[in-house]
Amino acid sequence: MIPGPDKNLSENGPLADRVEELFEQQRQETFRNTDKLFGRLMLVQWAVGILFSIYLSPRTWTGPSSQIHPHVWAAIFFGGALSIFPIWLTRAWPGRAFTRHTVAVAQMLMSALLIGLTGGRIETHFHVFGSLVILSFYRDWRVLIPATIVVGLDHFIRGVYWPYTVYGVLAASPWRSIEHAAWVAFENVFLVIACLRSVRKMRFIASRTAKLEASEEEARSANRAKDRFLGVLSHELRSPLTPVLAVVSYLVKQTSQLPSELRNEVEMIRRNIELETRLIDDLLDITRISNGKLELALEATDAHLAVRDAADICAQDIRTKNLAVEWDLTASDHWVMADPVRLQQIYWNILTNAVKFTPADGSILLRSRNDAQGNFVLEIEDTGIGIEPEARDHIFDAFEQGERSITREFGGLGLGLAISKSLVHSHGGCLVASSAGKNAGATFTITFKAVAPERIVPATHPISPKQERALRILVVDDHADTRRVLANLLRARGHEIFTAVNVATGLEVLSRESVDVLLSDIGLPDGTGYGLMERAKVLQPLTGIAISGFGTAEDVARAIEAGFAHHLVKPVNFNQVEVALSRVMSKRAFGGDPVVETSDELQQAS
Amino acid sequence: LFSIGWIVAVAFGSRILLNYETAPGRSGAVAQNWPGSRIQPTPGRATLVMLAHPHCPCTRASVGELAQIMAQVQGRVAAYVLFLKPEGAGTGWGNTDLWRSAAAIPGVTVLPDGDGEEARRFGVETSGHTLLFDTRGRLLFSGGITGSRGHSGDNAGRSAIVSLLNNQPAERAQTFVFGCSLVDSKQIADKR
Repeated sequence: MIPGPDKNLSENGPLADRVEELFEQQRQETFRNTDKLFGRLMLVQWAVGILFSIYLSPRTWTGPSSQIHPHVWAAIFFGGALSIFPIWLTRAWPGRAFTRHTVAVAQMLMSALLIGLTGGRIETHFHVFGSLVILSFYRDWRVLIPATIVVGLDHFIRGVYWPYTVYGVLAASPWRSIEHAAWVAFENVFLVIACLRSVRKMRFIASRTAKLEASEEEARSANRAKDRFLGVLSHELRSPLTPVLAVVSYLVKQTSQLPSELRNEVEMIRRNIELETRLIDDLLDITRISNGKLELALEATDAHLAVRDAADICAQDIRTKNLAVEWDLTASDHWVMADPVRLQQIYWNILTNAVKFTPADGSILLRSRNDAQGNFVLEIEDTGIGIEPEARDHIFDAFEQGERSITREFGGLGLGLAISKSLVHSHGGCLVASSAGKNAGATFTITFKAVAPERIVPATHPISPKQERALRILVVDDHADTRRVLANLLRARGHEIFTAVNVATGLEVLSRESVDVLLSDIGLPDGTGYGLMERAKVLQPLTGIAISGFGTAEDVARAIEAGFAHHLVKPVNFNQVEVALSRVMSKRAFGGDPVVETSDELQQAS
Repeated sequence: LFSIGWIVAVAFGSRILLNYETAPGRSGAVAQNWPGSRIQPTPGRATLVMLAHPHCPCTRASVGELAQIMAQVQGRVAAYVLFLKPEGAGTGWGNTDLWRSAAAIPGVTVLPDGDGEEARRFGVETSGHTLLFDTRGRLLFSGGITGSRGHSGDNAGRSAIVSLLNNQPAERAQTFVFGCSLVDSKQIADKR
């Protein structure tokens, strides 16, 4: 059944224009495709005509001598004259009304020729009916008009003057021509109906497509809004943590000067802030992964080093639970093509999982090997609570930790394994879990394709505390606590500090003071840190360190473009700030261009 | 301009083709009575003779029309098809579908016409030319049995022969013949 007009699709304005555009596109495509079809059909008709004439009447005879039959020449030249022009039109001007009307006339003339050559055989008249049907493929009933006129005139004129060429009889009544024309008209009625229905259907499809496009654009727009919201949310969630983490990380270094009853409390604050940060990061990661926006900076990476680094991060928790960690890293090919930060995150997630679900005094085995295909395989085996068979299929789903009681007992959002699985897949690797059942421990196997190791270039400018000197630093942040804490901590390190709350005041400071380092937030009330950095470079030579809650690869690239040398993602550990400043001093001591480093790289360095 | 050129070309081609299709062959000086042929007329029966060229594509329609005549007259005529066999023609000369088609018609005898001798005797110059003689050897009909070149279908020649064999008056005793020439161009030139 042909659908009627969709009352829900009452288009106005741009939508109506788009419907019309899509409809016209579809019509043009139909015209062009049918032109192509007729171009080929006419070529075939011409060729078949020549072949038939050669087969049926190859030569004409005069006694014992012969020559090529005029029918052969007629098929070649007259058939060509009839076909070449419309064929050329279908190639040169496809889709035009003139082309399809000429094609219609030519096709009907071809029918007339065939009928004439066969002496008006009634079977040949079917060529007319077939041609009309093929002409209706244009879905333009108007092309049937010239075709019908040609057929009618041909039948009437030849019916009167040369009836044997159209009906195969010596004399034909005019009624016979009328009868033939009536049959053509009868067929045309249905072809016109079919064309009109097709056009209606095309318009309906165009209308639906336009609606779908509009919905898709709305969805994309909503997705972009969501991404912007997540970016801002991330910034807002991280900002309050920055001053707290900066102070705590400073205090952790000064534990010898703290009263003993406060040392554990400070350490507890640090752990919880870092856990909070991890949860925010995990939520953002899972959002990026689900949106397909995760970006990887792949390079040849030492997987053994990555797993050892991941274990170092977990060292405190391992000691706390008195877990025995056994190392069996025997893989000879242990370099993989991976994003080093993400690789460490994968191993850290799995190892954290093992630590978390292994009871005190348990053990964890880290074993590496190369499989038969030469892949690097790392197995992390624990003696923990294990995985029940029915939970095995779901443990890599986001927000899934097996039974609800597990979530209550062990905490967390259940994102670590989901993120790890997606990250491993993004690297072209494979992550599988196996377990003999509840309380039987679990083994996670992570496989990556091994690659040739990268040549290690020793650092030319080692960071040395001896190179430290006082710097003039401008701290720009609209978050008062962050600004105050950073200023105080940096002053305590002997640096001369200036502060500003926004772009305008920052530029004001830069216009009167000479500074070495601009330490700036990105989201500022009257502009962005990017803009501030661009204008600051014009005012004086300085090194920029961005501190931002926006931590995507795009954000880092934008910071580099603006002229920042370092990009730190909030909440910032004070150690990262110190490392970044050390690099600035190192550069000043040794010269050369600043190297852009992200907070992850600085975290590793610190 | 292209369109006008195209229409002119198509119209010109149609005209040439139509002229060819309707251009009859030479009728010749047809014998009005049974000539001294090697064929012996059957006593008490009319005799039909078609002179034909075994390779002429246009004569295919004439043989088809002859088949229809023979079906309609049901043995009231002794029919012969004499196929031209020029002097020096090889053994494969007569091995054509036209020859076989004619031979397959019930009541029709197919014979070779050595060097067109019989055609000359009957005064026929075009393939497909059909002659009908009465029981006393008098010519009743002379001409082609197709409406135009190579076209099967209703035609004056067939109607006339069928009428005459049914002892009815014929509208026409002569028609145009459409087919290849049985006489070579040199002979035609000599004749002129």
